Formats: sequence, structure tokens, C-alpha cells
Amino acid sequence: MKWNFTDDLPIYQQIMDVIRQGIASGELMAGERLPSVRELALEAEVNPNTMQKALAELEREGLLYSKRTSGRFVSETQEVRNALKKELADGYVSDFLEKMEKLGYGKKEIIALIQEREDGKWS
Amino acid sequence: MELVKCDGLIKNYGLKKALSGVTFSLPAGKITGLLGPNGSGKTTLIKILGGLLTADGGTVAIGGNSPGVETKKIVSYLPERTYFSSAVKVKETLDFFEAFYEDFELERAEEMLKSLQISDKSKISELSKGNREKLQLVLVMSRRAKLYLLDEPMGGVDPAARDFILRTILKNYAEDASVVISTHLIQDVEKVLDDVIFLKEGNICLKQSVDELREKEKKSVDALFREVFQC
Amino acid sequence: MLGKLFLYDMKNQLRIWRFAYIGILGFSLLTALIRCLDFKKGVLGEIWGAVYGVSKGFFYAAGAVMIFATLFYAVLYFRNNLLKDQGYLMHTLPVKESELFLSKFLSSWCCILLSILVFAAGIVITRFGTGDLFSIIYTENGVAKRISLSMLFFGEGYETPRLLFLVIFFAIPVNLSLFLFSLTLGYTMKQSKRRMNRDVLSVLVYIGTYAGQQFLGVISLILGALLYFRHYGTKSFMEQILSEQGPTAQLPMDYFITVAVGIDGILIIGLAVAAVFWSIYRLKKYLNLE
Repeated sequence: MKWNFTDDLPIYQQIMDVIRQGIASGELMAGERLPSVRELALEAEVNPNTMQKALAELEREGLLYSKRTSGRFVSETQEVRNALKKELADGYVSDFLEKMEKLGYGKKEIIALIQEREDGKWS
Repeated sequence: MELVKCDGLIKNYGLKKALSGVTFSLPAGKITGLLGPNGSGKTTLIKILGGLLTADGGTVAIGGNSPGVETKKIVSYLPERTYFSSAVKVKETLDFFEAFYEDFELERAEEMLKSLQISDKSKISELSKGNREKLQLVLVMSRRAKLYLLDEPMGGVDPAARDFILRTILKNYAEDASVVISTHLIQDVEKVLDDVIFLKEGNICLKQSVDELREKEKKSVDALFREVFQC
Repeated sequence: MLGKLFLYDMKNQLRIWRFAYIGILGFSLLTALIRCLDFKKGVLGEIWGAVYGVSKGFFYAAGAVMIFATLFYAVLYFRNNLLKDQGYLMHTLPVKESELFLSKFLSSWCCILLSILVFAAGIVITRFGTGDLFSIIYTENGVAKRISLSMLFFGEGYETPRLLFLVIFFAIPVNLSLFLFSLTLGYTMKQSKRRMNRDVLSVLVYIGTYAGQQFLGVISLILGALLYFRHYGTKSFMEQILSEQGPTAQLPMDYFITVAVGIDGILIIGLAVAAVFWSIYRLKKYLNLE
């Protein structure tokens, strides 16, 4: 997983985003066991407490669960992961639409652009 | 019980007031950044915690004790400068720490030195400045102390070395120990901190967690620091 | 921890001095060898005699220098190890300041004694085979006479054992204590406005202790005189001074001198001990490494 952090958000939130992406993209597979907090913190080069906070939050959201002695795992529940994918996708679309509107593209033009790309694939 | 408890610390150097009533406490298991420009009293505060300086007023308690032999057993201090004589060999520094500190873990230190390719037999004078600083960091972090005081650990060091220092601090993290990093180079260190204390002209002008600061100010601690201490 | 510190300090100082010790002993052996290979006659004999003289002279000079250098280095070592950058290492050790100070003091004392021992051993080596280790035989008016070495060097009344005892248990520890105290006070003094070089300050403090010693000398003379008066009575003292008698005037004078010197010795030892305690106190409360 790529750990890149920006300045304006709390780090624990950014960690959560990275992990959510990982789960949604399948990089972190269902039921996969996560490394320990310390290992993850070391990998991301962040404070272990911060990492712990992020993981705890994700647990609360249901994306992760922990078994007392064996560690933390990615949720195997399909609905949870699907909901996440939808949520992320919605977010990307909103971002995209916002940026395109700033450029002055209307909805019809945006659809035409996408169609162009689609056609481009077949020609 | 808080690991570190300071109340109304005062330290004067003649007419100059280095610390004018510093009050704060640190729990165990946190990595705290002590931030401030040069001359703000950071080093003075760290020296008092390390038992190298006696305060003129106020109280200090580390693990419930005033600075002295008992606190020095659990405090590991990394100063800004080289504190070995240049004639001494690396092996001798390891033996020294082993002899005087019960909590020193020799194998861990040797492992780290091996990965840094610093030979036991080298003399301090033969090491580059960067390696000398890394050696001291390795020795300090190889102790299982309760309080680590790192005074400007990143000063004058190349990016690779800075990474090594941060990774060593993280690897060494323990829930019953705290780390205080005094620095004015916050950018490198911010991700690793739990809390920050801003020290300005001998007073604490801010003490908060990094997360809260970022949420509230919508900027990094580094950016906030530059604002607060416009230079 | 005092034992560990002591060994550490000994090791650090011997790091330098072991070479000097080997050198001095080696040189003494060389001198002895030169003497044994003496060509007794002719021009060669004369030249060889000169070589021997040079070698012997060099050995004695080097030995004396080594002893003083050991003292000088001890003071320098104290300064560099406790009052400069290395102090960051030493004062964060879980040891008492008194242990840090005493370890330096005792190890330096031992190293100086070692130097004296090595020098003495060297002297023995150079004189080996002359039939007499501690005295010289010379001829006066055709008669062979013998004079002890210490008598030769230091004069009447200074037998070697008494001299050595004084040096080992008085001169060295007192001077060491006052040197270390001067450094400690110089480096822990509060400086508000004008910042003076700490080494210069230390020298000034030392001059102060020297003045202090003289002051104590005067006190002991006064005390000695008072005791003398009590012992002999003012009247008899005046009589002794005013009459010009020889031998009888001597004994009371000797008593006076002995008492005064004795008191001086005690006062100076007291000064040295006080200096040690004060040094430790200054280190505990006023240490500020730069």
C-alpha cells in the first residue's frame, strides 16, 4: 500500500482512506490478516497510536474486525465491502463532476466525452 | 500517574529568563514534539528533565522522583553533540553502556550497528559525522528506558539518516515509555508525533495532539509553527 | 558504581601513560646497559662515559617530567570528561555526583603514584649492579664516603621514606584536590554580564586557593606561637630571644617550628577536604554544560 500523507487532514483519517482504498481495490482481500499495529505504523512511518486510532475507527465502521489473540482481519462480509466500493465510487464521481463543472463542461458534454473514450477503445 | 510532571519550572541564566513557569505533564506511551525556535528554552527544559541542570524554581517529577540517580536510571538522553572522546572505539562505547545501564540491550544495539555497517573496531574519530550521530542514537535507543529525550536528533543529517532515525524511534516504541523530541525541523517528524508542545520565550504557548491541530487548523503543524513563530 | 567508574577512569588515563611507563622503563634499561658495557680506557671510554651521562640525565629528566605530566593530564582529563562535551555522557549516568568526582580524584592519585613507582623502578634498574641502590659512594680527601640519594637531592633532614610519605599522602592529594576544585568552581560560577573564559576563571580560583594556603600558613604561625607561649610561658620566651645563647635557644625553636608546621599541615588538609566537599556540592547544584 502506498502511504502518502498530505498536510491538511489528520493523519489517522488519511490512514483510514488508504486502507479503505486497499479493501475496495482488492489489494487487501476479504478475511486477510493485517500486520500488527506496530508493523503497520513502521511501514507507514507514523505514530503507532495514530495507526491504532485509524484501525479502531475502521473496526467501528465494520470494515475490519479483530479476534482477540489472532489480530485484525479484513471484513469478509460482502455487503460491507460493496457498500465501501459504492461509497468510494460515489466520492470519485462527485469529485470528477465538480472538477469538470469548474472547467465549464455541462452534463451532456461530459457524457459525450466518456462516449468518445468508449468508442476509441473499439476503433 | 503521569510519567513526567512539571509545575512552574523556572530557570534563569543571569538576567536571561530561559524558562518562566513551565507547567505540563506527559503520560507514558506518547511521542511528543517539543517545538520552538532557537533560544526558546527547549534545550534548557530537556537538560532539566535529564538531570543535567537544576531548575531555579518549580518542581519536576519523572516517574514520581525528582531528577537524580533514580530518574537517570529510566531516562535515556541524546544530546545534540558528540559525547565520546575521539580516541574511543565503538566496541568500548557498547561496553560502557552495558556496564552502567541495566536496561541496555547489547544485542539490539549490535544488530543496528551491523545494519548500518559501523564496525565495532572503528574509532569515533574514524566515523563520519552522520555515523557518529547514528551511533549515539543507537546506543540511546537500545536502552529499555521509560523516557527518551532526543535533543535535535535530525539536525544536520541527510534524508536517509533522518529516515533511519524516525524508523528507529518507531521500532523502539513501547506503551510504557515516552519520547520527547526537541526540534525546529518539524516537517520530517510530524507524522511520528502524538502531541506537540510549542515553546516560546520560556513559556508553553500551545499543547495539543497533532490530530486535533490538523482538524482545527486545516494545516500541518509545520505550517502552523511557521505562523506562530514568524521569522 | 564507584568501582566501575574508577576502573573506567584508570583505563582512560593509562591509555596515555602506559606508553610513557614502557618508555621510561625501557630507557632505564638502556642506561643500565650502557653502563654495563663501559669501555674503561682510552678515548672510546671517554665518549662512552659521555653517552652514559646523557642517557642517565635524559632518563632522570624524563622521569621527573612524566610525574608532573601525570598530574597535569589528570587535571586536563577531569576537565574534558566532566566539564566539557563528555560531561553529557557522564552526568546522565545513574551515579551520584560524589561518585563521579571521587572516581576522578582517586584514579588520578593512583596514576600519579604509579608514575612515581615506575620512576623509582627505573632508578633501581639504572643503579643495578653498582652495588648500592639508594646511595652514592664518593671520595673526599681520599676517603670513600657514602651519601644517600635523597640527602643528595633534597638535603639534610629529608630521609627518603619521610619525603615519599609526605609526597604521596600530602602533596599529591592536596594539590589534586585544589586543582580539581578550581576547575569545578571556575566552570560552575554564575556569570551574568561579561562572559569570561572558564579556564581563565579556574586559574583565578586556583590563585585564590594558593592565597588561601598562605593565609592558613600565617594562621598556623600565630597558633603555633600561642601554643608555644602557653607551653613555655612568655617570660621564658622573651629571655630566650633576648639572650644570645646557642644550643638552649634551639630546642624551643624546634618545638615552635614543629607545632606550626603540624598545624599548617592539618589546616591545609582541612582545606583540601573542604574543597572536595564544596566541589561535589557545586557539581550537584550548579552544573551547566555548555
